[in-house]
Parts: sequence; structure tokens; C-alpha cells
Amino acid sequence: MKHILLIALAAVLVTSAHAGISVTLEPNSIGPGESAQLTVTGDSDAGVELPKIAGLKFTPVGQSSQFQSINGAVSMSVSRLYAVTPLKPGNYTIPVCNSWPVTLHVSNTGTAPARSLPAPQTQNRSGDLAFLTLVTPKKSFYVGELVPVEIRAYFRGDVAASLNGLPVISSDAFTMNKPDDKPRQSRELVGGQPYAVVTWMAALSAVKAGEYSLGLQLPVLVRVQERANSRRGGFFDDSFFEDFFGRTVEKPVTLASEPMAAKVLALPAENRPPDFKGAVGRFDVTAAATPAQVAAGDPLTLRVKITGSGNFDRVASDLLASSGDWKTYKSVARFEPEDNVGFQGTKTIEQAIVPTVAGKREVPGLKFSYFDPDTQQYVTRSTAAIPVEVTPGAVAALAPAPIQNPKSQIQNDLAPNRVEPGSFTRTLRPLLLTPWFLMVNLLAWLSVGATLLGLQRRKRRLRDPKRAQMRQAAAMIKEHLSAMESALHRADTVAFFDAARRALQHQLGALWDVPPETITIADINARLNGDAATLRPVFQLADQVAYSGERMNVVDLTQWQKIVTAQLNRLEKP
Amino acid sequence: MKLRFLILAILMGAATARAVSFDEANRAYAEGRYPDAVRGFESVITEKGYSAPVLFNLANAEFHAGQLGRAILNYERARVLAPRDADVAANLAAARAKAGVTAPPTGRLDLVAAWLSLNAWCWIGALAVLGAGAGLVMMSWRGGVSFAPGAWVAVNLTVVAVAACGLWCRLPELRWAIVTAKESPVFVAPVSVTTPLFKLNEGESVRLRRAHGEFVLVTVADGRDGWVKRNELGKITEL
Repeated sequence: MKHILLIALAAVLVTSAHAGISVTLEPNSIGPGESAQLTVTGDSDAGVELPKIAGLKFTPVGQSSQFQSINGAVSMSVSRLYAVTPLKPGNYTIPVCNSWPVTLHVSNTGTAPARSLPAPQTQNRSGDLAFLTLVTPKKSFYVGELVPVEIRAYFRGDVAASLNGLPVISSDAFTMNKPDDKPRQSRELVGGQPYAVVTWMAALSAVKAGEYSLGLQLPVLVRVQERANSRRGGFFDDSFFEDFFGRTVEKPVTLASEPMAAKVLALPAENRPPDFKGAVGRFDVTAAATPAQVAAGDPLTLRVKITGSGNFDRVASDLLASSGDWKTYKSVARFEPEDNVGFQGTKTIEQAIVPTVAGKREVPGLKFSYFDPDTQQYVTRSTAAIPVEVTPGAVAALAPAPIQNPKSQIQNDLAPNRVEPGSFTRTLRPLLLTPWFLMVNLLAWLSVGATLLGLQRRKRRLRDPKRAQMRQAAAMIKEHLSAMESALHRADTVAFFDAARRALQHQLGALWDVPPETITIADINARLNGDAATLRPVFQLADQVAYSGERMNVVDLTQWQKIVTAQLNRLEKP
Repeated sequence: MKLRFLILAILMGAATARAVSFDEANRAYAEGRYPDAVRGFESVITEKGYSAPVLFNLANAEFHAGQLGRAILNYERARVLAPRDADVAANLAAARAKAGVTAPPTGRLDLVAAWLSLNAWCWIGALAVLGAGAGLVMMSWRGGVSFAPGAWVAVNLTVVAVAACGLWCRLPELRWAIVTAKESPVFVAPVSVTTPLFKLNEGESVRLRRAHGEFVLVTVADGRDGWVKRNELGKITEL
């Protein structure tokens, strides 16, 4: 028995939310007068009502049924085929029941040849768990040519998998633009077996001439179930429980398409127009200048539109260069794609131009050259000259002088002068080298250093247990001195001497590193020897007044306060 | 009262004269009188000091006047004051292309550091030091290391470190100079009686190492070095 068992799960990649029906449209881009085939596949033979879409005509062309028996479960799928014929160009979205809507693009210039992609060769892959196909319209490319391709990943219906990235090309002779993050999802029958199909539209471009092997790779995660190691036996020794107790894990797998032999041709050097800049495809060019009437010195916009299909990143046109009649500025280009891969669309190049001389002028016709891979020839398109009425303007007198020599032509390559002088600085000497800045920084660093040092010292002091004890003792002594003062005012002899004794105990306790309350007259006699003469009476009096109730007047107490304070000061000094 | 009006009138008149000077230089440029434009922009600099637009316009005028070395020098100076100005960078590249010289090699870190001017890095570093100092004082005042002032100090010290990196990357630029002479012979010693080792083209960038009399020892971008006459070079920044 295998350790890893593939489990049957509903395909997570396909339109599971719209279970029961899947819709495919082939091709999804056609020209006027052409038809596309719409296939609606469902699990019952109940009729499907197609939507009514203005501009599209649906004609039923057939029906096929498939019966399958998987693990004893018999299922049926019915596919209905319709011919979709457009009545006018445009983009149509076709929703069928609750399935994922499909989009049909109908161009007004005929189907782009590259869009007529052949059907993928899938029959010999029937039975594979998953496979990847690359559908290209041709196997011979020109360097720089942009070729739309379709990438299809097939996952057998009983395989649970998820994408772990986007398809990548496995040849350094080609580049591929990033496929769409949201690929189209559908279901297909391959050799009678249902497959979930994920389809990306992308575009390839060859970068060097030669013969190469073209292939793709797609990282996926396939969910498999590992059989539990413990042997159960008996009642549980059944495949149902093996599946039930097994652990599902995701295994990374890289799908690779079958390598395809591709030939990349170099662009011919013969008859190459001087203004050719690498555009390969089929293009049309138009030009317009607005407004048609301006004052000399006022700008107008020259707008060149290049539409068609091909490598728009190499589409560029030599716009108007400065001359005696025109002052020109740098052009700005923008591209508006008509598809997801940037193969078809319109590139608009705009240039600000300023007439310097009044009168009836003409914006000269412009040229744009490209290589047509179908006819294998260079093509040069030209625009007509555009008439412009230039009236005398107040600024005309300030217009740049007519360019006298060809060398001045390079002025067009320079950004123009500034009209505002900006803010001034007296020197280009960097601040770093100016004495005042260095001094300020030095002082700042010194103060930072000093503060850091101070913080460190404070931190050390706070962490010193001896100092902490001293601080605590000082606080207690202060508290008892305050109590003495208070007792003095009340002429409370007992409280006065009690506070005095405690203050001295705390001072001595901090000095001797012993608990203050444990210090007695005996300790004082033992430790201070002859110096105890002035301390001993305080302790004796404290005991005496506590037991005898003897009272002293304020004058005496004041005298004792001075004695105690003096003793505390003496003890404080090391 | 009359005296006040007189002073005001003189000040306003002087201001107007200065403004006209810049405009006149621009007008000379627009009319193709490039040597006049060069003189005009130089007089603006002499009178008021350096600014990125004036240096840029001066470089444009020098470019058209055929003084490519000086044009590259002044584009570089404009870039010192306005490091992210795309027009300055574009015109500098155009001038180098026309002169047939290449820019000195720069690393990725240098490109990042070039996003701000040397002075901007100085200010950022100095302010961050002051910020860190203020945070430390606050910590000292509060009597301990608490989170908010501590984080403030840490952020400022990080900024100081970043600014130091920026300065470190940009400091070598202080020693770069541009060859302003049409052709500058490079000698093996600071004397011109010997045969030159090789010659530098107008607009080439060299790194200054040390000076001796009227000569300066320089290293070219390709690693060669030798002595060049001081007056054939223009320093991008003042040292």
C-alpha cells in the first residue's frame, strides 16, 4: 500500500462556487464576420437559457454527453455547443446561469493573427494528474516580436492542488510579461476525464536570434494524504479508516510544459528604414495638432496616435525637431492597452511645440517605421502635414532666434533655462567644513556625552546597596528630626527623646550596617568607646522619660535638640 | 522723511537692477548670445551668490558657448545644491555625452546618498544629535530610562547613523574636480618641462589628492594619476 494517497477532492481552482455548470469560449477574440464557439457543460441534460445580448447572435450547433464512473459513482456531463456571431465590434461579457462569465472581444480590423491560438495538444496527456501546456500561434519568431500566448494548467478532477506562484519561462532567449494574477478558470474533458483548467494570457518576446527550446514551469502545491503509521487492525483495518486517520499534507511540485522547439529570426538588415526603432507588429499612425490657431510664442500640442498590435514598448516616433519656425519640447508617451497582455492598444505621443513665426504654417508630416512579421517587410507610415494658423503674438519678439547652425540643434536635448533665480547661498563650501557648524556639533556631541555619563553615574549610584541604605537612613533621620521638632513645640518630652533615639539609631545603623532598632546602649559603649559619652545620655533619657514620665521644659528640650543634631552631623562625617 | 524715501527708492532700485540682471542673462541666452549670457549669469553669482537655477542656466549657456568643461563643472555645482533635479542630471549627461567623457563611477549606496545634498545630510545629522541630546536631558530630568524618551533617543541616534553614512558616501565628492581646459597634460612631476604622461580631455572628472605650487596631483577615474596645472581644473565645491 502506498504511503501517500491522493485524495479525491473537488477541484479548488475551478469555479467551485458555480458548481454544476462551466462555460468556455474559443477563441475569445475574433473579427467581424467570424464566430466563436461557446461550450456550456453541465451535469444534467436540463436546458440552458442563454442571455440575450445586443450585438451577439447565439446559434446552437450540437450537444454531447459524457458518462463517467469514478470509484463506483456514475456521473453524467452534457456539453452544448453554440456558435457566437457578433453583429458589431466591441467587448461582450456573456454570463451563463451562475457560471463564471466569459468575455468576447470583437475587433473592428479583423482578428489579430496572434490571437487565433491553436487548440492545446492535450490528448496524449490524458490520465496525468496535472500538466502544463503552452499554446503559441507560431514557432518562429522575430527578435523583439511580441507574441501573445496562452498558458494552461490542467489538474485532474480528483486532484486537490493550489497554485504556488505564476508560470515562469525556462529559457533565457525569451522574456515573458507577468501573467495575470487572476487567471481564467474552467473545466474540460481530456480523454473523457474531467480536468480543472487554469488559463493565463501572456506575451512572449524573443531577445536573441537562434534555435531554442521553449518551455514553462509552474510551481503548485498538491494536497496528498499520508497514511497513519500506527497499525490498527481488526475493525479499523479498512481503507475508509486509512483515509480517515491519514494526515493531509501539501507537497510542492513544479509542473513543466513539454519543451517546444522555437526558431528566433534576426530582423533583416536590408531595407531597414533609418527611423526604425525596433517596433515589430502591425500599426497605423495618425497625427493631430491642437489648437489649429495660435499666437506666435504660444504652445500647441502635437499628438501622434499609433494603434495596432505588437511590441508597444519599442514604438517610438521621431517627433518634430526644432527649426526656424518651431521650438519643440520633449515628448511624453502613454500606452492604453486593449487586452490583458499589452499586445493590442494605442500609444499616444504628445509633444509641446511653439510656433515662432506668424503666418500660415504647417506642422510637417511625421514618419513611423515598423517591421511586419507576417509580410516579413519593413513598413513606413507617414502622416499628412497639419496646417496651423499662427497669429502675431506679444511673446513672438522674445522667441528664440532662428537656429543658425546644425550644432545648435542639440539645444533641443537640453532642459530649458530656469526663469526664477531661486534662493542664493554665498558659498559652495559644505557646512561640514565651516567652523561654526563644526563647533556647534562638537558642543552638541559633548553635551550628549556628558549627559550620557551623568546618566550612567546616576544609574550606578541607584544600584549601589550601601548608598541605597544611606539614602533610606537619611530619609528616616529627617523624619525623626521632624518628629523631634514637633514634640518640642508640644513640650512632649517622651516623644522628643523617642524620636531623638530613633534618629541616632538610624544614623548608627547605617554606619555599622546593622538594623537600627537593634542598637542599644551596650552597643554604643562597645563600639564607640570614649566617644559614647554624648550619645549615651540620649538613649538613657529616652528610657528614663518613657518609664518615669519626667517632663522637661522647652528650653531644655531645645538644648537637647542641638546636642542630638550636632551628634548626627558628627556621625555623618566619615 | 525725505531721507527715508530716498533710502527706500535706492533699495528698490537696487533690487530691480539685480532682478533685471538675471532676466537679461536669460534673454541673452534665448537670443543665442551665449557668451553674453555666460557673463550675465556669472555677474549674478558674483553679486548674489550661488543658486541651483543660476548655476544651471550658466551651465546651459556655457554648453552652447562651447565651454563644455565649465558647463559640466557648473552642472555638477548645481547638482550639489539640487541633487534630485532631473533636468540638471539630464543636461549633465548630455554635456558629458557631447564632451565624450563619462561620469565618475558610483556605487549603489552613493546613489542613495546622492538623494540629499551634503548640507542636507549635515543638517539632518546635527538636528538628530540635538534631538538625541534633548531626549537624554529629558531622561536625566525624569531620573531614569523610560520608554518614550529612550525610543526618541534611539530614533535620533539611528538618524545620526544614517546621516553619517550619507555623509561618508558623499564626502569623496569634495575632492572631485572637472577639467575646464580644452586639453590638460598630465605630468609625472609638478613641473611642466617633462613630456606629459597623458592628456585629460575637457570635462573629465579627476580626484584631487594634494597640491604643490601651481600643480595638483590628481587621480583619474581609471586609476591613472599625475600632476595637472591647477588653473586647468575647476573644483566642484570649495574646500
